[in-house]
Amino acid sequence: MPEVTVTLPAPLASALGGNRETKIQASSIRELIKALGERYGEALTRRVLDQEGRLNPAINIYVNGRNIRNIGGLETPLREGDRITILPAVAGG
Amino acid sequence: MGKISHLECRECHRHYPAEKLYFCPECFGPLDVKYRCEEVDWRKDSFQHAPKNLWRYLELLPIEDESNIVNIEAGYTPLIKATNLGRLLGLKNLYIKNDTVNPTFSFKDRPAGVGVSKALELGLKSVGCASTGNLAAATAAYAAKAGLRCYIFVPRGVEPEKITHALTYSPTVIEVNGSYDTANRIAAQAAEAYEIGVVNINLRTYYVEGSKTLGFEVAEQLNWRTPDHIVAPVGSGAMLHAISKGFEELEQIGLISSSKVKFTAAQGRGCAPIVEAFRKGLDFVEPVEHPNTIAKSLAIGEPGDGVYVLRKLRQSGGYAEDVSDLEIVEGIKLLAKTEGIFSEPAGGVVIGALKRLVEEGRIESDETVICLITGSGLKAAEAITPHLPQPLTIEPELETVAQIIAR
Repeated sequence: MPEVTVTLPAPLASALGGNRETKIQASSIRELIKALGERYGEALTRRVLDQEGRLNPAINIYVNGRNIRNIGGLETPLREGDRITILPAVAGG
Repeated sequence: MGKISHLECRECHRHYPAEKLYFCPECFGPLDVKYRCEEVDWRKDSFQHAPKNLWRYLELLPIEDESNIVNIEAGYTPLIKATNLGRLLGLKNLYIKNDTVNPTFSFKDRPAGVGVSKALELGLKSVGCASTGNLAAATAAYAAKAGLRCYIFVPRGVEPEKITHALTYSPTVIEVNGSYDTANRIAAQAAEAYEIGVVNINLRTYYVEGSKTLGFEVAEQLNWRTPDHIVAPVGSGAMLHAISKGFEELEQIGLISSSKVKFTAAQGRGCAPIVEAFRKGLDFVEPVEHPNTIAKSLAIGEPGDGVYVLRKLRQSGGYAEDVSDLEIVEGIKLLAKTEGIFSEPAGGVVIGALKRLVEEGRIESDETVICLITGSGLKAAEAITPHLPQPLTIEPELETVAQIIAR
């Protein structure tokens, strides 16, 4: 399974008591969120996904700089060495 | 005890102390500044001797210590009755809020002023922004005045006038090879990695408070009442949301009787994710990956406040209009030739949307309508230049002038 690097926003990492950057094995974004949930606890999963399992609209997830909403959404496949960035959807003035 | 009561999550309504926090760590929702409004004793005559800039509303701005205020005399811009344009469109009470006359020639002097002042208050040594151009100059100007280091992230393709303008204040300008949203992502990562107060990202909670002074001023200039309808240019949607919040605060402290205003969001057709979502009846915004509009200051494909603008439009009974590049140019020219105001393309978007609303019968002739004109045309001359005639070049002979006048 590919290993990828995930960067979390600082306030989230500190709320979860973890590091901002972590390496994790997952072959899709959905799997990645599940794996992050196993590492950080359910508190992370419920922040990232809504009750229907959809991506929280207040969050953007980028794979190598591309917003997953513009590619494959939660099913976006991951490859070895991909860099995943999770950021609050704060854009524009 | 300060004037700020707390920061409140717009989604889950959790409360947080007024610190450098820009989203709710519980649900990722944006945070709003909540004030002790019950302690604000504003009356209609409270402002007679107030400074003629945005700081006249200091009691409802999130700076606790006045010594942290960075003031370049922004705000308190004219509200002009647009009699010529109004006559043409059949509107008796049409007004232009002319924010092109701010010190860096756009409304961004309002939020940037609050953002940079808050950076000082939080003890930060560096500020910055992600910008489509207007915020770049505004942030750089305030940073210069405050003596702070400044890092400006812009996408490729910003109008050269805006880059020149920003560079003159001596910030570090970083042009990111990509769209605005890419530049914004890099700025967000830099804000997290280094101690930079990126005003519209990690200081956003405070920064947006500056934009609500547009609403305060409109209400004050209408002798403390709200207009019926505001047509606003929308990029991220933060300004529209902030104006609405400002009206709600004025109602809460009893200075206006109702905060109800109909909002229309105006976007350029090549980047209109909020208009699209409004038309489709969605409660979320689908991003635009490759914006393509001459209204570059509005070319934000992932609008941070998009869902909140959608809610405001629907709650207020308002509309959303997207305007083609040609309509934008026509809008710029129409505003200039009727009211003598030279706007950047965002203003052309507003006038184009206004025309559409009139044509569709969505505005009554006696409604009080405000068009927000938020940036000067000199900042984006490239958009309009190809659509203007060449000057008449002559030999210095009066006879030739006579021939021209006789035409």
